[in-house]
Amino acid sequence: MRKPIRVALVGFSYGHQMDYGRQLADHPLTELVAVCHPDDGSDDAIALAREFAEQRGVPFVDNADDVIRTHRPEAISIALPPEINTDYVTACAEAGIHVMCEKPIGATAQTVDDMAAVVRASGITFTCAIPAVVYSNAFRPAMEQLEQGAIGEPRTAHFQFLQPRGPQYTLSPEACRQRGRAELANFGPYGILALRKVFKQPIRSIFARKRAAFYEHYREHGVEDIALLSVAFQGGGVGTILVGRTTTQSQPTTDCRMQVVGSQGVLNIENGLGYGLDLFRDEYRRVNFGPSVGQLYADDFVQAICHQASPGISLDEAVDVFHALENAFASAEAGQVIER
Amino acid sequence: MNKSMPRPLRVGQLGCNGVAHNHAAAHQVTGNTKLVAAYDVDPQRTAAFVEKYNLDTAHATPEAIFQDDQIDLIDLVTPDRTHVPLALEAIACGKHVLIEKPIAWSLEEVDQVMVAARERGVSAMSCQSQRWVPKLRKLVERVHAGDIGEPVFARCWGGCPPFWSADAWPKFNSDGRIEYLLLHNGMHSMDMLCWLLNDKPTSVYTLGHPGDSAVPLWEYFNVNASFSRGAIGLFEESRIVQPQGYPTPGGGMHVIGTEGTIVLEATCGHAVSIYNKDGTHYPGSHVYMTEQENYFGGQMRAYADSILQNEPPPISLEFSRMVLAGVLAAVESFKSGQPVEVDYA
Repeated sequence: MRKPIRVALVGFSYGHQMDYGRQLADHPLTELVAVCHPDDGSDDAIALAREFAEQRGVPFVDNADDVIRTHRPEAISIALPPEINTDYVTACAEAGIHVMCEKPIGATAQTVDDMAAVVRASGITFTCAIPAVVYSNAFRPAMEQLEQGAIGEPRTAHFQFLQPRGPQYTLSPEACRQRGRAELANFGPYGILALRKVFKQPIRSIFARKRAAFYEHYREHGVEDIALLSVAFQGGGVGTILVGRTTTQSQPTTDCRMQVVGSQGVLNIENGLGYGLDLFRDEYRRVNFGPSVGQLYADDFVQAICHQASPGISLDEAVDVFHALENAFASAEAGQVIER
Repeated sequence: MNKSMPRPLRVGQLGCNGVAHNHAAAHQVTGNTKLVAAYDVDPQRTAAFVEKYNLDTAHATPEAIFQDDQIDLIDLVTPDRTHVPLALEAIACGKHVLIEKPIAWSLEEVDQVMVAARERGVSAMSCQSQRWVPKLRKLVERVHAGDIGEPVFARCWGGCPPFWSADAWPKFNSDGRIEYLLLHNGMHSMDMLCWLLNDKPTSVYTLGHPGDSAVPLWEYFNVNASFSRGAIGLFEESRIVQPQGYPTPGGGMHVIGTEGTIVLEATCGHAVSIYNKDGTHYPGSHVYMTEQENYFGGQMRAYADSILQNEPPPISLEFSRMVLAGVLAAVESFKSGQPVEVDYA
């Protein structure tokens, strides 16, 4: 019987820890040993982390380095700002700690590449939180079908991820100013990873358009709420990616879909997130189809650690998605095709 | 109403193959046109067509049909590259002319038709039959009525139905242009985006896929377009695969506005569809529409009305010129691999 994997959660500014981090902490093969949010003045995140630590009866730590030094976890779920993400992942890798990392994994191409080199050399298990298009109850069987050649060789694909009911969940003006990016940065990685999984080839070129069409504070800060990418892959596959946060109020769930046209057929995903059934009686109830994305994602990470296997979302994929997203922003800003 | 004009308009059709049957069937339901004569380069095909649709005359040459005093309107359903010379000849003979899309392969040719029609005082219009597909028309009406606010993004995607088989495709008079699908069918999608957005494309970027190597023409294109008021458009043209049993060859539309979204999963319905062990069938596919669904008929009726009432055609040549400019830019982008600014000069 293997001893439980000692895990810690670091960074509570994003929703990451309340889903993926929680799933990691709740996994039957793990043991939560510490919860941390660095003392960066974000009171809400600190309060959330403290509360989570209290609920689980583990120490709350306000210094991320102390988590590594003092609590000696074997794996950490990291959701820090991208500017410090890479340094912290690097520190984890150097300490032999496995990492489940929120996207974006870094702030610049150079820091991401430097971090990736250290992670590769360390041999730790690294995975990145772009799980919906790998583990959802729609994408999981779809990717299995593609793997089995259900439609022959994939040739073209369209992916879209449109989150409705804005301005709910829009970035604050301050976040817009700080990040300089919005919904392409949020949702673009899903599309890039999905197409990468479909075509299984490196991206050859990217062309992107982005626009602030819906929200005044996005316009003020020049950040995008909708974007369209045209992506060409080596081997000839071509795809388009539409992402955005719309003001459509009556759409109940995220409009996540994909169509793949292959040499022998077509595969359509209509409800890509495939959470479950909507049951309306006295009150609304969601009946999940099966394990959630977060459960499967965390389990995949744990199994990869246990079996020294590659996780479902690998370091190479995460790094490539990061670079592709950088290319997309560069393309949209220059109005040019970025050849890779 | 023009009192000197007979009602219904008497129509002579050039071209008796493929979509020509859609045109002939449409004239049977318009109520204001009557197809009376036909011509095709293949005399046997002409004869069969005339017999099938019970027409008065099988003409032996285009000139003969143009000079037939009984004919008011020429319905031009010939290969793309012949559209302009035949249209100019018809106009010179004082005939109104309905020209299958694409109206031309260059803006200069459209200008020639525009000038000729204006000088001769006749009407000319390029076919965009999809505008009369009831579902699409309703969608555009709602967008134009402001139901979803200002349109921000529009996508239309289309696939060719199975009766356009892979071995038939290169025979569609492509003149060896590997981008023929984009040039030919892209006119539908670009027209739809321009009409829906009530705007003109300013920049386009095209990706393509060659598809089945047995077919010499490229079988898939997607076009990422920007419009002058900021909207982003995407259209796809595909005949890359016609899987057995695939239910929606007509494609669909997705429009996102500042206040809502419209999604149309399938734009073209078929009155009769059969999916069985032998594949997908649309029996009588060239007359598959009920009168209400017969968008070719809707187009003919609307155009004939405009002629009978001395009004401008429902789709101006200027608009079709703008659409063609966008498509030609998409072709240029496909060839260069770069985004291309649309040149309206």
